[in-house]
Amino acid sequence: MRLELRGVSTFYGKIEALKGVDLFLDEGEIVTIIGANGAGKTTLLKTISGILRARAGTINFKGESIEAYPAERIVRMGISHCPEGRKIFHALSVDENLRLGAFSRDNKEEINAELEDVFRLFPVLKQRLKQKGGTLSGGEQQMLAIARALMSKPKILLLDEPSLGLAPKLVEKILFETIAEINKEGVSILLVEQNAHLALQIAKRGYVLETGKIVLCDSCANLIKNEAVKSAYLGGR
Amino acid sequence: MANSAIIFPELVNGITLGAIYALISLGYTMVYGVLLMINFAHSEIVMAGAFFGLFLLSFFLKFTFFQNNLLLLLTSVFLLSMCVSGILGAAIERLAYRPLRKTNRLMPLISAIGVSLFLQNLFMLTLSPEAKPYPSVFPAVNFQLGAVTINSIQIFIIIISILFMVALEYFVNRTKLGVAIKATSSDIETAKLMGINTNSIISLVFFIGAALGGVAGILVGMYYGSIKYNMGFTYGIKAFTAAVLGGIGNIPGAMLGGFMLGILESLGAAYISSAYKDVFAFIILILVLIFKPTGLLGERAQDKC
Repeated sequence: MRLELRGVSTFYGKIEALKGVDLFLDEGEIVTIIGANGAGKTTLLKTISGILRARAGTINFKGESIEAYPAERIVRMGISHCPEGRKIFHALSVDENLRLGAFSRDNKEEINAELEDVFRLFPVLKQRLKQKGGTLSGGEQQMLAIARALMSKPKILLLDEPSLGLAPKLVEKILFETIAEINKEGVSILLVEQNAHLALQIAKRGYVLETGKIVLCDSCANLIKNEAVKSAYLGGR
Repeated sequence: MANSAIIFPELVNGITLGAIYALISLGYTMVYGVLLMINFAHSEIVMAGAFFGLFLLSFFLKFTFFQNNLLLLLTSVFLLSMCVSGILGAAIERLAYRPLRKTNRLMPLISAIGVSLFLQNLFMLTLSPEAKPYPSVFPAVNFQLGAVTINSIQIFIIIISILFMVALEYFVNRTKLGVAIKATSSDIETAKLMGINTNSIISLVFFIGAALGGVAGILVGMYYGSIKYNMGFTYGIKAFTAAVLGGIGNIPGAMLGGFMLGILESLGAAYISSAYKDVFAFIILILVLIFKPTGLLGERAQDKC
């Protein structure tokens, strides 16, 4: 079940934020997209999840062209987008937030089983169940955001800057271990991450996005050694 | 100084009016919640709802079966007219606001004023420019509760309003669709990512708001015994004030604001002058906008990140 983008262009008004992006994500892979702020990483994820419309190009998934589908249909097809900045519903409880993640599903027993699954990944959420989402710490909110995205039982998880604003220790220890674990359970992951170091370690392949264009695409092992990548995204080490 | 002989009747009148304002203000506040737009056509829904109720009442009262069964008569009239008002509200959104959603925020507002004028003139031309009498289905009985006198229609209005408000609170807080409405109100883009069809939610919000507004229209008709094509304006602007007073976008706030406005207005009329009755609402609106624009319960949750 490969997700494949061909020649995808997305506009904000007259500004072309994505310029003919080609990209694929195979079943079971973790693929990362690295790039500077404003390179179009978030735009790319929003275009896949149907929040933004591609003006040109095709997005294929499960043998269908999904680029014109509304966002809710894309969720139902098994692509879940965990947005940048977590976007927790602050006034709603943790429980309500999680159940909203399962909005596209109807079977109550399955949803409850899914809840138990995400509690195994993030035990802290079980203790916070009745608390309002806005009262959680940044790290807990990120866990909630990922857990909520998993509640739709996706085949593909689009993760946008999960480490943003979190303590480095938490990021390395918990966040990235959990991402690897989610992947092991069979969810393919497209990861946008400012921490290119960690992203390149956890992912198998990577794309480098610059001003809306894919300028480089290789295995992460090669990208880490690439001089241009090193100087631009890995602090020149 | 007014004595209790004036205060209590005015207080009861204020609570009754407040209940009506509260019902109407829910439509403003819910629509604002999801679209950040003031639906100026909502006042005409109240008027249209009053007329739908009038037709249905007149129609059903032709049958002896309904004449003899007040509960069934009222249930049928309310439910049917709620459906019609609700559909009207959802249709207005679909036809007059949705096509303009991606434009400047001023466009839907102007469109709303257009819809409002259109509906007023439509009802004036097709029905009557004169006030229409509302059939009284209640025997007007006065009840004495201690020093307070309250009549059967007032009791009915207060009970019906509270019933619908409790039902709405239950729906919004305890059902999957209700929580989806709250999610859509707080962040429409993230709601989409949850798999929520936000367009359906917006239609639903317009439907519910208009259905409640329609109920309020019937209640106004029953309370004052007559309705007119231009009756919506006063109720609309007062309910809008109530919504702002409670904190626009906030459902319990609209309820609170409605009751407070009704009571303040009636007491103001009793203590100061009834000629200034309508002025109080707008003084309150101006004061709230100056000193506490977020309203009593409004606190647009600030995003932490």
